[in-house]
Amino acid sequence: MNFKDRLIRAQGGDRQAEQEILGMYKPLLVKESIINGVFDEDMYQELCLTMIYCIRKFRI
Amino acid sequence: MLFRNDGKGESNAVQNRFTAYVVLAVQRRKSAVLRHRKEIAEFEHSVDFDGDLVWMQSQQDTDFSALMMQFEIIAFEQALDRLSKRDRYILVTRLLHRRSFDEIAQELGLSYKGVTTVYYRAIKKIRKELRGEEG
Repeated sequence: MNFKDRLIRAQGGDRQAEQEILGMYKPLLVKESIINGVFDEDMYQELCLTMIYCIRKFRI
Repeated sequence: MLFRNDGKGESNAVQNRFTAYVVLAVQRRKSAVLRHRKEIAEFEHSVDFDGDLVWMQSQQDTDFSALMMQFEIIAFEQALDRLSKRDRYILVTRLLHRRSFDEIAQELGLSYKGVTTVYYRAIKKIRKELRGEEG
């Protein structure tokens, strides 16, 4: 399954596809959640929410 | 699942656009969260200092800021008046009636891009006028 199909399925409410995309972008989120050399869990959660929002809002 | 995205083919192009979108959104959210934390930290510091004094000051501040708010509302209304009828309509339906750009575009016979451009341009115009009158 290519990325576009996965994104379309995630937008259609497929939880597994959503999880897969979230997994693909996890390194980015972790990298951005490190503040002053410490992993910030609150920030990570915020960014995960942002990510899910992005998946739903993105216009293909 | 390791592969190189060369940007060729529709799926890869979509993924690249999506990644750019996500990176920007994540960075914006991050700076918003950090800014919010900073504001809270500043507020906490001032409360520690001297409770009553700060409370009195904040009372005075609210009177003053209420007055400033009224001025701002008047300026905002004037700025709205100066927009064209179409711009104002898009702004109001988007902000107050919470309609999506797609719906507005269909109703006015414009493209999605056209409506968003008009919308953001109108906001920019209002900002410029409000700032211009302040300073």
